[in-house]
Amino acid sequence: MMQHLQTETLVDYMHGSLTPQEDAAVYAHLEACETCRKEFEAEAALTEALRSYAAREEREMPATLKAEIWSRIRSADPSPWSRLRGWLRPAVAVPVAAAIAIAAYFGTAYLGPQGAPSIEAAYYLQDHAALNSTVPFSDRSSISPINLDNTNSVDTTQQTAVRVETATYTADANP
Amino acid sequence: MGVPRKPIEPPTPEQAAFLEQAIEQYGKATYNFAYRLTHNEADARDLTQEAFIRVYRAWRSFQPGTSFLSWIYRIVTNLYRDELRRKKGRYQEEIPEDNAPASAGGERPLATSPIEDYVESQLSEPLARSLQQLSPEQRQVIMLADIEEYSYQEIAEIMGCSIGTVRSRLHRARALLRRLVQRQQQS
Repeated sequence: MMQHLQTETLVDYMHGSLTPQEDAAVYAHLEACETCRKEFEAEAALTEALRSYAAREEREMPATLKAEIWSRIRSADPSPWSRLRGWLRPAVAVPVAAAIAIAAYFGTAYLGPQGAPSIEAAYYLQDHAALNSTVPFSDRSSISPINLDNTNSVDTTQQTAVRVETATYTADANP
Repeated sequence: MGVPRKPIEPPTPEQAAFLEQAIEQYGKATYNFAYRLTHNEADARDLTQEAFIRVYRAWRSFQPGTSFLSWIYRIVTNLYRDELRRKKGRYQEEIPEDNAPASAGGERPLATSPIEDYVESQLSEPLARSLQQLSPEQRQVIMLADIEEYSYQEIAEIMGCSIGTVRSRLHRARALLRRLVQRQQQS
């Protein structure tokens, strides 16, 4: 007695997913077995019905859908990386870099004289200390005697700076 | 549809051309695929839109020479699956409105005789109802295997499962569909 094919085998055969040997065996079996052939035709009819149904139900893509996709893309907020990339574009990045370079160049030149005050102050204090060593009390008329108690005849730059501050403070306190 | 929306980069000319061509060539097929999955125009629309946004974002990952349709079907499948998980249910079926199918008065894609028309209409209704009673995975595997005519291997790639799963899912889906159609026709 001939053994019939399983429905699963027929479905796989119909979808072309059997090996060449299996495919040939099923083909030969269907030639000889009417029961299996009818079963196969029933499966094939279902597939045909599905395709016909799909063809009948086929729709056009809504006319506005394409515009909606583009609209969503164009109206979306760009990501932070995208914004950064925008800044890194040559059209933007080159002028920005040039402006920074120019500003740095002229800015440094402009700041040059202002960078020196500490040197000038030191120089002034040294000069002042040297003057004090020769004429100790020439410029201390406004300073109270208490502040002069520890005054040495030869001042260092630092000591002079302290005294100048003290003198100013004292002058402010006792106009 | 509540698909989360990420920031979108502005298009480069090549990217814009790629998307334009993709929509022109595959927009209709993608929309129909989405519609057959959801059986709902609004959801099919959202699904198609989101799928093309994904295509737009990942356009460089598409390899020329491979099937674009398989790629976008896979995207739609994943989006649909995610959405189902979020909703934990089914999409709502709706009555077609502005974009009515050919059977509702539009142009027929294939010329058929009045007898064939009658036979098809007799089968269409039970088939449509029966298809809706299948699970989303069953409906999808039938669509891909029988309507789109993909191989098991391709379906496995699109659905993200093994060939064995495709085979068993298809066998069960077809067996159930046959029973449901017979029941519909008897009643």
